[in-house]
Amino acid sequence: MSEREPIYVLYRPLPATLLTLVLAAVGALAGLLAGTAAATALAQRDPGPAVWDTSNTATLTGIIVADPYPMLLPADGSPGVILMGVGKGGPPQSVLSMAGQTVEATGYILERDGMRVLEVDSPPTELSLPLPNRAAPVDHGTHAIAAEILDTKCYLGAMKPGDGQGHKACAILCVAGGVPPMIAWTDDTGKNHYALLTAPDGSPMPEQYHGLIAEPVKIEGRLTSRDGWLWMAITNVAH
Amino acid sequence: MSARYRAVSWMPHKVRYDLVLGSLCVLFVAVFVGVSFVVNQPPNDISPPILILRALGTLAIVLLHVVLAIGPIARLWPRTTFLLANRRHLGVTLFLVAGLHALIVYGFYGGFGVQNPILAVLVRPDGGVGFEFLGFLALLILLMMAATSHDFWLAFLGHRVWKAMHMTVYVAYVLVIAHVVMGVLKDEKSLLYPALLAFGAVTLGALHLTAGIRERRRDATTPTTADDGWVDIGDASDIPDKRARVVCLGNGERVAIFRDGAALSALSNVCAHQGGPLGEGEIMDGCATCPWHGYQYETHNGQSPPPFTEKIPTYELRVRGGRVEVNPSANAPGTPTTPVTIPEGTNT
Ligand code: HEM
Ligand code: HEM
Ligand code: FES
Repeated sequence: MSEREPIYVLYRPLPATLLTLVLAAVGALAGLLAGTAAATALAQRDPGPAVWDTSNTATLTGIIVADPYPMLLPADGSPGVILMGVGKGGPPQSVLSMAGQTVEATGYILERDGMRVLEVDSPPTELSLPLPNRAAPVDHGTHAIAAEILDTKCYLGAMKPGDGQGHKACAILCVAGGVPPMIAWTDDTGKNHYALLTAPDGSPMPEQYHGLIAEPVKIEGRLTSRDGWLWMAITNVAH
Repeated sequence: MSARYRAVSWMPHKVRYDLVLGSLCVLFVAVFVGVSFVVNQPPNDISPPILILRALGTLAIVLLHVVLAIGPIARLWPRTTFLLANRRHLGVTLFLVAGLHALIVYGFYGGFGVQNPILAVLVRPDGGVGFEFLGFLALLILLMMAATSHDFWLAFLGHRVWKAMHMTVYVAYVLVIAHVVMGVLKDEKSLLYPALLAFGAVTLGALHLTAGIRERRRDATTPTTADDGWVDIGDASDIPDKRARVVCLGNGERVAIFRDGAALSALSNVCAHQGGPLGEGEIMDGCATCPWHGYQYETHNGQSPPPFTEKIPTYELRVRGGRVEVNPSANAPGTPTTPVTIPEGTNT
């Protein structure tokens, strides 16, 4: 304690003997900060391949349906494209009111693994094209799937990562606003599956499940496929 | 003279400190975002707002560790006391960084929806709360400290209340750890995150424990007491010129015995500003000068030189049988005393 040197006082010139120590402290802090920043950034999980292409508008032709979620069924027979508006909600009334009609819709595409969302930024144009009838739904029986309830907009590309606890509040907000909920899972062969969620009667997923969004859950219900998507009519969600 | 010094000349130090601190924060965010850009290429990229809010949250928790480490580090290695001088700037910076983190969360995760952005983040559909709420409570604590950080509040509240308020930073620390454990740790599978949190907690714990134990041991050396209660301060000639020795009196108070040439005087060890350890300072301009922010007191009366008005308690000293002794009952703050002279025969 007795090796005395001048103390540091705010309003006085820095004692020369302390200069090295101050510089060393600044250097150590810079190293600590840069090191932690690099390490924590490197350790972030991979959000998976999903794109939200806001630099190109896309124009799709097809029929608009809303049973229960607004979708555009493309004329080329590819899987249904979920229709949304800007922000955390479903498409505007100008789109909804055209259900059952053949249209040309323009907007931005969000896509993961071939599953698509069209964020409509202008009212679609009505076409007088006849379109082929929709194939009948295929029933796959009841299943219990361990997965997480996601919102289609963020998970398919609007936010990356668009899943998990960190994103929970946002996902709830999306679904409450009318963005269709979904689950995604990978089977034993490594193939990814995506199922849109509804009530047992095929109406939108009940609000009672909103609190379980983004939690690890086991979802039970009847699986069907139609319009290029799997659908799960939920009978129970166990946390 | 010290008046002008204090008012004007400390500005360059603070400006330099803030510049360095600001640059370090920018460095952190730049490294975090830069590394992510390089590693997570499209289509597997992470959304830029998420990157920035993560960088800010991570920076905030690192700064919180630094703020909490500075106290014990300065106590263990007195040469590093300069770290304490601008701690309030570090604290306010921490608050701003954490606040920006929260703002981006409100805007990006809470915005663009059918609900109030703040409520959307803080309240779950069943009325419960999630990990974000813990971060919110921590931010409130940081806000309270940042808002009362001006010396006006310090004087208004008194440094005991003010210090007690600052101790709630440990509550904030626990809340932030819980915020991270119950939030992103559920998503991120890399072991680095729990490892870093544990490393931080262990390091802080070790620093605080070591500093605490050392302090207690120092206080535990009971000084010899005369029959009338006066306390022997040890060999006065061991006190280096312009410095002090701190003696812990039986009643828990600490007294600093300053030596200026051959003259000795005793002051409370507790600085009137933020309770800094006055006895670890030195005599400058003829005044005892606190090592934390340089507040000064005249050694013979415990008063700051005009125009300052701070006063600290003084203690009576006497020489008896060649030994210097201090009266353990303090004088009222600012009471003049007569300095005593180091007894003859001791080497200087
Ligand atoms: C109102 C206050 C706060 C809110 C709403 C909030 C919200 C959030 C959210 C939503 C995340 C997850 C981010 C992600 O998607 O990865 C997060 C992460 C984090 N927060 Fe906070 N936070 C708040 C306050 C704080 C405070 C005060 C601190 C530290 C002093 C802090 C430190 C962190 C850290 C270290 C992480 C993990 C790294 C990251 O992913 O950002 N947060 N916070
Ligand atoms: C958000 C802001 C702040 C945080 C997180 C913070 C953090 C802390 C911590 C961790 C301690 C206890 C440290 C220890 O004794 O080991 C403390 C006490 C203290 N704070 Fe702050 N602080 C903040 C703002 C300020 C401000 C604004 C000031 C200045 C006015 C300040 C100056 C001090 C001082 C001098 C002590 C020492 C009390 C003592 O140990 O006797 N801090 N603060
Ligand atoms: S505590 Fe600030 S000068 Fe002493």
